[in-house]
Amino acid sequence: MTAWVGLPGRTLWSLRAPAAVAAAYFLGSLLGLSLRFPGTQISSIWPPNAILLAALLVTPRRRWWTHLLAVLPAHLAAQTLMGIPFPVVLINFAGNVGDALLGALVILQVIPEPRRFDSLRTVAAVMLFGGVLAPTLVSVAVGQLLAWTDLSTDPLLAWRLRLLTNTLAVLTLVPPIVLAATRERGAAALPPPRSGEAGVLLTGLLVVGIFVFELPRAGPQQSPLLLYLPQPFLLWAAVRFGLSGASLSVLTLSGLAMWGTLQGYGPFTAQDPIANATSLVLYLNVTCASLLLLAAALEERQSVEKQRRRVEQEARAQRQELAHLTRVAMLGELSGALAHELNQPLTAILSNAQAGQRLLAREPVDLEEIREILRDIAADDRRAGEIIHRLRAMLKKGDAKPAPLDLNELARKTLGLAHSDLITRNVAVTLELSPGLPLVYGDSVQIQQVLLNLIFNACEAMSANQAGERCLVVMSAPAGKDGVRMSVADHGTGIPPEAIEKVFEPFFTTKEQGLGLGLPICRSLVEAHGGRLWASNNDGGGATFHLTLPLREATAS
Amino acid sequence: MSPTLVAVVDDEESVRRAFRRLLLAAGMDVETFASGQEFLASLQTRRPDCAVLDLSLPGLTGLDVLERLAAAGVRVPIVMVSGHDQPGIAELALAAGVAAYLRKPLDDESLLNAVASAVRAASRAAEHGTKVPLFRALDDS
Repeated sequence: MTAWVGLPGRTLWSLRAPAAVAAAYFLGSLLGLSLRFPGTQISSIWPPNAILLAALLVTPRRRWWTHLLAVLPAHLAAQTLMGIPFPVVLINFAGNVGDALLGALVILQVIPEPRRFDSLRTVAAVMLFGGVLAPTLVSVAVGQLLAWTDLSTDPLLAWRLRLLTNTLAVLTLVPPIVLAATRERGAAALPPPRSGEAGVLLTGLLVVGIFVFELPRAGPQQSPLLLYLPQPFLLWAAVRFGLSGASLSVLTLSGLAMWGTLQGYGPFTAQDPIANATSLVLYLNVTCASLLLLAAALEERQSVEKQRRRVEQEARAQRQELAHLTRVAMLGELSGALAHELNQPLTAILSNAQAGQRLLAREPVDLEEIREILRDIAADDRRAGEIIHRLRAMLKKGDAKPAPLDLNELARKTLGLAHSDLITRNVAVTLELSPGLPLVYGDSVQIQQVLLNLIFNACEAMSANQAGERCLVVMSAPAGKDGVRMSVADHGTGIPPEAIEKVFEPFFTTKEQGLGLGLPICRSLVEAHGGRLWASNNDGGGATFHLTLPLREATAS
Repeated sequence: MSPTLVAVVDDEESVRRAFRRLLLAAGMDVETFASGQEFLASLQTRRPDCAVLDLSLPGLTGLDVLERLAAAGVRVPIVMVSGHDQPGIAELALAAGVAAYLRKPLDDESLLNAVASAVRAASRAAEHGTKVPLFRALDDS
């Protein structure tokens, strides 16, 4: 330890990763060597390359050399310990490093930025380039080298076995290592019911794995159907626990299968050692590859779905925010009219109260009159309260609260809010409301906002008209399967035919001071309710805006 | 001498009732109208001593009523009241010759004083043989 004294903390920290990789490489080498088939040089899995490949994939390229340097002593130590001749140790090192480097370079080339190791494309790239392409090329080279140096008698066999065992290591080890290394810090652990499920799954997999691979039933009577027993558990892992669940369960399965086969148990013991090893590794490779691809595809679909939901939620929040802003702006426009609406009851209350005071000062007191005065005061006060209540509802921020809605009543209330403004603008209002309409389903504040906006637009459209020709008609009618229709008609100049859809586009405006957001927001609000909003020109001049709202099952925002 | 007759013109019933009560309690006679047209029509039969006229009326606005009165050469002292005015309207009304321009809600004292002084000014003018000024035609209705 004293040797490290004086080194800055960061250097120590940066040495941790290569040290861990070297240790894993060393242990992986011992494991690979110890999993050799009895009496042969054939191992069922060769982990060091896969460990190095995983380490390179999660390390910035400029620091790769630290890993490569760190694994050299680990390699020498492990292979020398196992009594492998020195030239072969060197050739093996070149092969291992070649596998990992070539694989990592190609994989990083083909997966898109930002790197996500849980995407289908990445998993496929790791399998294809890390698990097949790189080991194939490197194994040919290693086989040739061994043949030239007379260290191996059968280069083709050496190539085949090296490839198969490397592939298995990449398939089983790279995904869990990479996923663990890139796991977001603070990612939530499984909640209790899920960890319970994971426990049941693991237990089931272990029981089945032991039943299939660890019981001494070797021989031709062994049914190949047994190999399908683990499938349900593997599929369960992939479907419910994604890529990490799938990779951990194939790792477990591979461990059990290799262990049992090496002990001479299970389905892969009927042939000669080389054929047994080949069958086992092929079986595991095919199982791993299909399961990991399935898990990655599922996970990708889920994350696309999650992303879609997030985007939708953001859009909804933005719509609410925008609707609120325009509502506030609209109320600003209405403020004078609202002051008048409030002033009327306040005026009546004050004059009534003061008239009452005068009456009380007289003898005899006219109690009947006083009673009436108090009744009027209470009624006017309620009216003022109602206006404030409606105002507060319009100013309030927050999510839409859909509820059964009487559109006729809402139209009357909305015209009540705009009452003074309509008088000031000299606009005469005609109501043509169809009685007994069914209730629609919607947020009263948002629909009121839409109506108010349409009423304002209609007034705006008639501002150039003569005083007697400013007529606004508000109509309602049943609209069949569309629910209920409400229309606001003006007697203005109408909309040019080419602009009749454009008026609903953002920033399209004919007003000097308009932002061009009113109608687009209205349309998005109505459509969020499952309704429609459109415009048409009247035969006798002017335009009409129609909105429909469905009766039930509305998807209000 | 008969009590002062005041016409109250407001489109809202609760305000009409309240003003009516207040003016009655102050010892005046009151007649109420819901619109400018009604008020103008009533002048054919009876002329009030003063009119409390709301500015924002549906149909004919308070300013329209002033214009009609001027056009017809009818002299009635007017106290104009308003619950919501755009800038410049008060000046416009005063320039047109209204006796007072009050903003709602208004105190009993200010309303009664305005009515009383409008009536006084009109009768003083009548005593001195001068006529209450006619409302000038407004440029802009």
